[in-house]
Amino acid sequence: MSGRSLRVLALGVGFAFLYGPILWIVAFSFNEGRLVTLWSGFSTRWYGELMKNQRLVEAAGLSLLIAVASASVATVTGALAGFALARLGRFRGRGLVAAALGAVLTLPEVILGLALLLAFVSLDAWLGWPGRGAGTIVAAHATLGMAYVALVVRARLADFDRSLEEAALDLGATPPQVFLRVTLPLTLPAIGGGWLIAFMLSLDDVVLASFVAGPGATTLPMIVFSSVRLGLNPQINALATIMVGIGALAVMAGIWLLGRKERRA
Amino acid sequence: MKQGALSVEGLTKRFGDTVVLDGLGLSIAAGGFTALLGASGSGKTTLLRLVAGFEAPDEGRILLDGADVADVPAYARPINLVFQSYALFPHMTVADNIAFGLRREGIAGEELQRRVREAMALVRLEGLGERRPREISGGQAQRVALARALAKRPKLLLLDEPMAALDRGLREHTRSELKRLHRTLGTTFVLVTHDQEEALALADRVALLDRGRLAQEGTPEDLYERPASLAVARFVGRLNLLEGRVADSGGALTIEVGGIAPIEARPSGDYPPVGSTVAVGIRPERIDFGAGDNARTAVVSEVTYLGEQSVYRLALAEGVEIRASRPNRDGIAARVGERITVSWPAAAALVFPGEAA
Repeated sequence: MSGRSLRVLALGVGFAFLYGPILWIVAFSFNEGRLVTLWSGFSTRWYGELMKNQRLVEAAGLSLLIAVASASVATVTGALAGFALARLGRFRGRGLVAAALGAVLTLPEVILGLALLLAFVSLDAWLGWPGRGAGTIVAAHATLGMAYVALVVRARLADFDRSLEEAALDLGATPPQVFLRVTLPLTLPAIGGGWLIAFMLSLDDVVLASFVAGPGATTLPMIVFSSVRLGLNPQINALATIMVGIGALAVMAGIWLLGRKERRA
Repeated sequence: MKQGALSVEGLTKRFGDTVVLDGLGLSIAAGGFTALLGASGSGKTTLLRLVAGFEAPDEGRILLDGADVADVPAYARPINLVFQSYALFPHMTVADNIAFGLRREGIAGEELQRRVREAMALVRLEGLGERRPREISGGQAQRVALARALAKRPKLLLLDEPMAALDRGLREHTRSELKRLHRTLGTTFVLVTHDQEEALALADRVALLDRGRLAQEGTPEDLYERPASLAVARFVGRLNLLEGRVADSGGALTIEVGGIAPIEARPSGDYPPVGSTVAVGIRPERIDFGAGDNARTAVVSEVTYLGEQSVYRLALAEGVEIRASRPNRDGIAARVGERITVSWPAAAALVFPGEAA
């Protein structure tokens, strides 16, 4: 066997390992029959049934709402943290902020979920607020997302050409104008990429949501996870296919946003 | 009266324990073309950043047309800078880059268009207005940076190593362009450079900085022909250096140098006392092939042919070598191994008292 065909084979095995299961689900979402392991013909009937499943549609709506809300909160707070870490010099507590953000990234989600649950429960006991529901899921997802956004924004600012800001200052822009007209527009792709990461993290999270959700708030991944335990269902395949589609679009948009910087340099 | 006179007094800037500017004093006349010359670490870039307003001095004053600008923020100073990296805004077109500074002054509409067109015509950038900075060449980017700064009609234009990123051919062209712009506008130009050739070629005044202090200020000819110190002489141009002791100071100075016949010198200014140690510097082009003052025989040990001129390495004695440069008008003047007579006028020797070569 030649080196070239060996490499192609290795590539094929690698891709099959990564994408085989996903393609299997996508294929079987178009299966006619109820069995998820036996192909009986092409049909889109499970997509139709999915749309009629009120519980799933509502959960999907809630998941999107939570993802948009938490990603937006995470983007604002994370971008501010990223700017502070990259730009405020060696302020008091800088190491603590950097370590705290890093800890959120490395901590097992189970621990983070448990900690958040305990915090929410104690807070509730003291203040009678916030209860548990969509609000607490948004807060939990925003916590995780913020750490990612801060990381991306900080990295972008680390290789930001400071002379651009000095040039703007030199040309008569006041510091707020420098920020709005030079720093922010050039950091926006990173901030947008960070929003997409936070959005996707929220959309597919089961662990954090399961810990902090109340009885009234069930996200889509929670339903998928619990219904699979009761047995496989072709509707879930259809749902998964739609989610893979949304995820792929978000990833492509993110790559496009973050890659724009390269072409500009 | 021309505007744009800059002077600094007792200017000191420290970064931690490092003193970058050490009580620097310097005056730059309005409307002139001055080069701030110095090796890296001489403080020239720090001086530029202080004048532009990006850094604040620890001590001393910066005066523009007699007024202290210490409390004037960078964005309000009538001073503009052409960055070494050009620092063009990548998210804006060339025209928007040039309009950026004008818009900050509240200039809009017809007037804005006119000023942008004017600035682009000044640096011959017509037709590139809609391009992005990544779509133009390095030479064009430099002209955009120039146009962007000049569009503001500053009293003082600072140029930070403007030629550093250009290739040789473009450099020559840019030099004459800068001279033309300076003649046309009459704005005070201050060029920061580490390249002495560039400073001599462009500026009508050169200020040489050495370790945060002013080593000498004068015309390019002053610095080259009448350097104030050995450091200046070594930095500007090439120099043959010999160390010796003054043996006689009646008439001409007679300086004994180990291994070769004593050197006669007639430096301008006071003569150092007999018995003192001095450094003697002779520019390579002042060495003549043939008889004259300070005549002696030398063996040619190396010839470097450079087209318009050749550089000859000459051994005056065992271990004592000097370099001479001669134009190649009549071909190469001497071959390796040839024994020739060389000489140099007594007035051509630069003498620096009390300094070891």
